[in-house]
Formats: sequence, C-alpha cells, structure tokens
Amino acid sequence: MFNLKDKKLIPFLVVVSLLIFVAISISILRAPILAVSRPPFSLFVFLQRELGGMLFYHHNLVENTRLNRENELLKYKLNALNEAHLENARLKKILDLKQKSSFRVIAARVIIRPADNWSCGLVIDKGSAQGIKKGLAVATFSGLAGRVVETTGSTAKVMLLNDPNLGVSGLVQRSRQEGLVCGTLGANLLMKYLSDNADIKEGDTIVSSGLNDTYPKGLLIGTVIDIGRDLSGLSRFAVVKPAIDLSNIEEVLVIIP
Amino acid sequence: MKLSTLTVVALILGFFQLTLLHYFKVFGAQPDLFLVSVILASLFLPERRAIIFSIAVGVFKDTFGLHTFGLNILLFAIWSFLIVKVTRKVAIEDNLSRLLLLFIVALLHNIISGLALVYSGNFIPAGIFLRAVFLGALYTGLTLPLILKIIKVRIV
Repeated sequence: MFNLKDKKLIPFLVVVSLLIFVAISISILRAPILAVSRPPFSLFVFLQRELGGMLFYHHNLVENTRLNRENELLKYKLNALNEAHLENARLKKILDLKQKSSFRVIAARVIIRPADNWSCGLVIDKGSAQGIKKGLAVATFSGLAGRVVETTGSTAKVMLLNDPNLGVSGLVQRSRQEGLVCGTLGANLLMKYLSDNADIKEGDTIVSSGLNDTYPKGLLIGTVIDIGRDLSGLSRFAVVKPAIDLSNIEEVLVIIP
Repeated sequence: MKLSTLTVVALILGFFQLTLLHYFKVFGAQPDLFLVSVILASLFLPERRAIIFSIAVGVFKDTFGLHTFGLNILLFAIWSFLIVKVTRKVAIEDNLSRLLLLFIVALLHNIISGLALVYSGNFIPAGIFLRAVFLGALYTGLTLPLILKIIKVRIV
C-alpha cells in the first residue's frame, strides 16, 4: 500500500523537503496571517463583551455597586500608602539608597487563545507599533501572567506562566528563599530547585525575585499549596497556585521597564 | 463534500477553537478542531486536494501556536496522506468508524506533540500528560459526529 517506486522517490523527497522548509519558516508566515486575522478576532471579542454586558445586566449592576464601595475604601487606603511611599522615598534619599526604577504599562485585550493542549498562551491586540517587544513581562492587576514571546505590528503573543517552556525566578516573600517557578500545563505551577533546608511552608506567598530585568521584583506569582520532594531526592519542590486564573484572562498589562 | 464547503467549515471550526473553545475544557483538555478539519478533508476530498488542505490547516494552526517549529504542518500532511491511502483499501463510511479513526489519529498526534515537548527538556507531570493525551483524543473524537450532524453529511 505504501511502497514507493524509484520514479516517485524524487517528487516525494521534494515534497517532504518543502514541508520541512514550511515548518521551519512558520515564524515568517505568522506576521502576515496574524495581521489579517486581527480585525475579525477583535470584532468578535468586542461583540462577545457587549453581548455579555447585556445578558448579565443585573449581575453587572450589583457588581458595579459593590466595586464602587470597594473603590472608595481603596482610594482611602491608597492615600495613606502614598504618604508612606513618600516618606519611604525621603528616608531612602537621606540614606542615599538607589531608587528602584519605575516602569510603565500598556493595557491590552486578549483576542486569541492557544489552539492546543500542549502550550499555554494568548494573543493580545497590541504589538510592536505600541512599543511592545519580545521578552517583556505581562501581568494583570492581580499578579504576574507571563512573557511576550513574539510580536507583530499590531499583535503580540504571550506565553503564560503555566506553559512548561516558561521559567520565572521566584522568591518566598516571608523567608526570601529563591527558586525557579515553572509551568506544568495544569492549573498549578511548580517551584523547583529548593534545597532540603529551604524555609518554605504551605500558605507562603511567592513573588518575582527580580534577578533579571524581564520581571520587575515583587510581582505576585501565587501561593504555596503543597511541598514535595524530587524523584532524585536531592531537592524539594513546591506546588504554587497562581494568583490569577490563567485560563480566564481577558485583559493584561505589558510591563515596559 | 465540496472544497468550498469544507473551507468554510474549517474556518468556522478554527475561529471557534481560537476564541470560545476554552470555555468547553474538560479537566483541562480541549478538542482539536483543526484535526477534525484535516480528517474531514482526508475523508471527503481527492488525495492531492486533501493533503494541500491539511497543510494549509497546519499552517493556520501553527501561526497561532507558541512554538517556533511548525510540527502540525508536518503531522497534518502525514495524517492526511495516510488516511487517503487507508480509505482506498478500507471503507470508512459510518460515524463510528470515523470517530474511531479520528480518536486514533488524535491519540497519535497528542503522543507525538507531548513527547516533542518532553524531549525538548520540559517537565510535565505524568497525570497531566496522560490527561492531555487520552482525554484530548477522546474529546476530539467525540466532536466529529456532532460536527457531521451540523454540516448534515448523510451516512450511507
């Protein structure tokens, strides 16, 4: 059924070579296809949001009232924190400590989600034209979400924290214990390479360590829900529940250092 | 089935896969509607058209993927080629056989994709790997009768 005659061998090899060439050069094809598909996906997301707003009008009304109340309380707290921040800046200046550089953020909307079970990512509606570059950190108001892995003029592809290809240097907020936070394709993350005597326990908060310039220090990653030992027995790992629901992100903030 | 009909079906399935399908995840697994398009093309189109169609679907899928190498382009072309060859010898004309065929192809596709990820140095817990392989394949297979019913392909 599948035997190839000598005459057919050359066309067969040509086809296979072409296929491999297309597979390797997929990154070149991405930009034009993404540029063409952005408008319909953006329109769909817009319609979906508007329709959702109309369908869940009462729920949104109640939610709005609650959030307004919460907003007032947060404004009050923010004001108090601003005072503390200013005082902190003054004291740091007196002590001649180096100030942490400030960063700006670009808000973007999710327009496309990944197409398979073997990666976790999304496509946002802002790209290099808006100043987004490969390697920038992506967050929501609740915590770190992932990293930009590819950009076109008007879109950017984001790899989420739960993708196994992404690793973030994390820090236990309480004990300052460091580890590498990696995705597992599941709902939780793994904090790896913890030594035997690492000071970490269930309920600890994990934040980004800021070891490299990609992720600003102190971004919330998640909470430790379990601690285990590697199969090798040489180190321990912690199961981390992400601070944000990575499967339901609708809007993100791209952090520009 | 006409090529134009199949193209429209594939575009709708692709659009659905990229926008709304994450709401229908079961235990973290979602069906691969691009693979369903490939199977439909391989079953209902002539050999050459089916393979070209499958490569186009692979390009479309890999465009929105995160990986730099377009594995789906290669795999979709292979699946299409093999299905066309198999259907010349074996009649696959009822829904159950089509479902079974899709399940087997999805299973192989998932195993290869998963192993490619693992062998590129990533750690995936065994439970999540098996869940994505088997549940993903089963879920993909189960969507076929529904899609065929929607596009009203009459079973002989």
